[in-house]
Amino acid sequence: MRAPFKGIWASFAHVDEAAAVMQRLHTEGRKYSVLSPCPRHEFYDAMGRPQSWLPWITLLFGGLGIFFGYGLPTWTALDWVLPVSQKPIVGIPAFTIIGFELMVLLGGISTAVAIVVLGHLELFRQRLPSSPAFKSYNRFSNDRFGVVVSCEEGDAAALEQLMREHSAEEVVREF
Amino acid sequence: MSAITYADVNADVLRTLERPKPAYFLLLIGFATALCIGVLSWAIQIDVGMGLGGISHPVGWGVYITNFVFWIGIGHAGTLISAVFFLTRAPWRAPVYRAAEAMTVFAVMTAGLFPLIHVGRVWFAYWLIPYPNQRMLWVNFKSPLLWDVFAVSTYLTISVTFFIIGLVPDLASMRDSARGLRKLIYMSLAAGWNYSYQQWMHYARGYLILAAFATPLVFSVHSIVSWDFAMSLLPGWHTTIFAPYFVAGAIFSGLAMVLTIVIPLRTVFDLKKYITDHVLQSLARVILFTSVIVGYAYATEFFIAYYSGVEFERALFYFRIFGQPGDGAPFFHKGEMGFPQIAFFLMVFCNVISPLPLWRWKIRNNAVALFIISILINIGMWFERFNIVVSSLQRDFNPANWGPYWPTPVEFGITLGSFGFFFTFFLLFVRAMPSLAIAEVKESLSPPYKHANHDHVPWREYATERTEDKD
Repeated sequence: MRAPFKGIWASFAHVDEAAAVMQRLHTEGRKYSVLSPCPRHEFYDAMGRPQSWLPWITLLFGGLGIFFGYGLPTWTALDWVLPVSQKPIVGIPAFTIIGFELMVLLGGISTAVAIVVLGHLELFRQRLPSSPAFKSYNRFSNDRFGVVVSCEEGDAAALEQLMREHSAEEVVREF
Repeated sequence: MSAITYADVNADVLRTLERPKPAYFLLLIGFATALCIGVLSWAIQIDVGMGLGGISHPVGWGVYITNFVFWIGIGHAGTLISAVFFLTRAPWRAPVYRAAEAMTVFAVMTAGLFPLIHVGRVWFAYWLIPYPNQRMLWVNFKSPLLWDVFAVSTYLTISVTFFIIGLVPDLASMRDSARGLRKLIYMSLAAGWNYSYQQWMHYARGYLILAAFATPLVFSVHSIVSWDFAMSLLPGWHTTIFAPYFVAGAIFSGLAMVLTIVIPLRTVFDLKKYITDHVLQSLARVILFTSVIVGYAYATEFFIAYYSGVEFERALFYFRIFGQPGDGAPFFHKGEMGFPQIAFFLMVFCNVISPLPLWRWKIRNNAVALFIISILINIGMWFERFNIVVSSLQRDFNPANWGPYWPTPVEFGITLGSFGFFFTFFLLFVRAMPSLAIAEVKESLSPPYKHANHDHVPWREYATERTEDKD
């Protein structure tokens, strides 16, 4: 069983203040997370523009779609040859439509699944608090921004001061 | 929208999920009744047989295929707005895209019913799926009809996927404010969304990729539907203009349906501060643009029929306007007007003439006028599909094969039912799910900054420090 979350979290009313805290935490090399009701480029910049590897999953499955999209019609055409006038048995232009559709289908579905799965996997790296205080705080989906930092108890005072300097509304220590 | 705060968005969307006005229930009852008429008509047709419909030789594709093409076209606008306008960063997209996406999903679902209705023996509809028969003979992958199966099913799957992925953060928002059974339902649908940036990072990237995938899909699906016709040799169908003509028509009709839905939506749920007049005007501009393309395509069809010198093409387009003795012709041949001629004149009036007032700013700025024009366009586009499908089939190369076509009450009943099916689903959707995209609307607002002067925002100062540290 994994150890419970140890650290500190705070809520902010302003994007720039929360981003400032994130920037400081990022500079100090701490493990942190931010919660926001919508994506904001300020956070993305403050986090040092991390890159998702989701496009590689899309590429893999999109490629598989192309393979099957051309492969299946080609195999069926060669498995039972039905010559129609002078038309080629393996009609690549006709099969391109199947290839395109299967590329989009497999690529799209894999992307959607990857969005959910990768989002959850990331949370294994940076855990969020599971305390009732955190769970019952529901304004991160509404109009507040949250910063969650994993730290030892000794660092909590300094982090709390940093957050309060940046107008944190609530600061909660969880140890 | 700068006066709106993030909290306002949540409050306003939550309000749409409260008990609606009586008008909502009246509408729901009306459309559910239409749906029942459709179901009953279909049941009678299954019981008695396809002879109850007007389709016969030579018009084997009648109202059912017309409805199929019409609803696929309606389904175009949602993904166009959510994908194409997302990639082009159209600023007016956010408030209407959720309703448009829902519309797409329900329209494609409605369209998907019609091949099943049209095949007659619906219990054998699985023969459409690509798998080998008992003699290990596979379906014909070179057939446009099979391309259509792939195109429509992929379009439906990707539209539903796009729709659900867009909904997830908003469902999490609903989860956080709901109680009891609703909370449980929203919680299970929200897929553990917790608003952390680890999730937003993948979400933003994935959404962009989905939009990039959906964009060519939008243009491909109606092109492929058009090839159901254009790959044949029939006069009136065998033409290279069909793909762009169908796509422009689909965008045209789809956006008109968005207006038809969104104008009452913003009035009933008091969402005028989000779905502003500017948003409606922007939709009207795209409608105007596509109406010009559609009008141009009509003219091109006639010109090419004349210019080609092919007598069959020339005859078909002559008969499309004037009809012929026997099936009722309006002008030169005395008698009653045939249904295809009515379809032609309604098509030209509704799709080419009725959008012309949109050139005036005052009309574009008038929601009532926009609503009326959008209804006319919906009617016109249904008749355009009818015109393409039926009038070409009526007259092939051999006059001995020619014949009239009038839809029967069963066909009208099923058509009415399709509108009931579509609007019933949509009304249930706006009652149960956020009809405004909460996260995206928030993204389009001015964010809550403490420091009004953005030159002195602290996070930038830290960023500078960090750069200096590195140096």
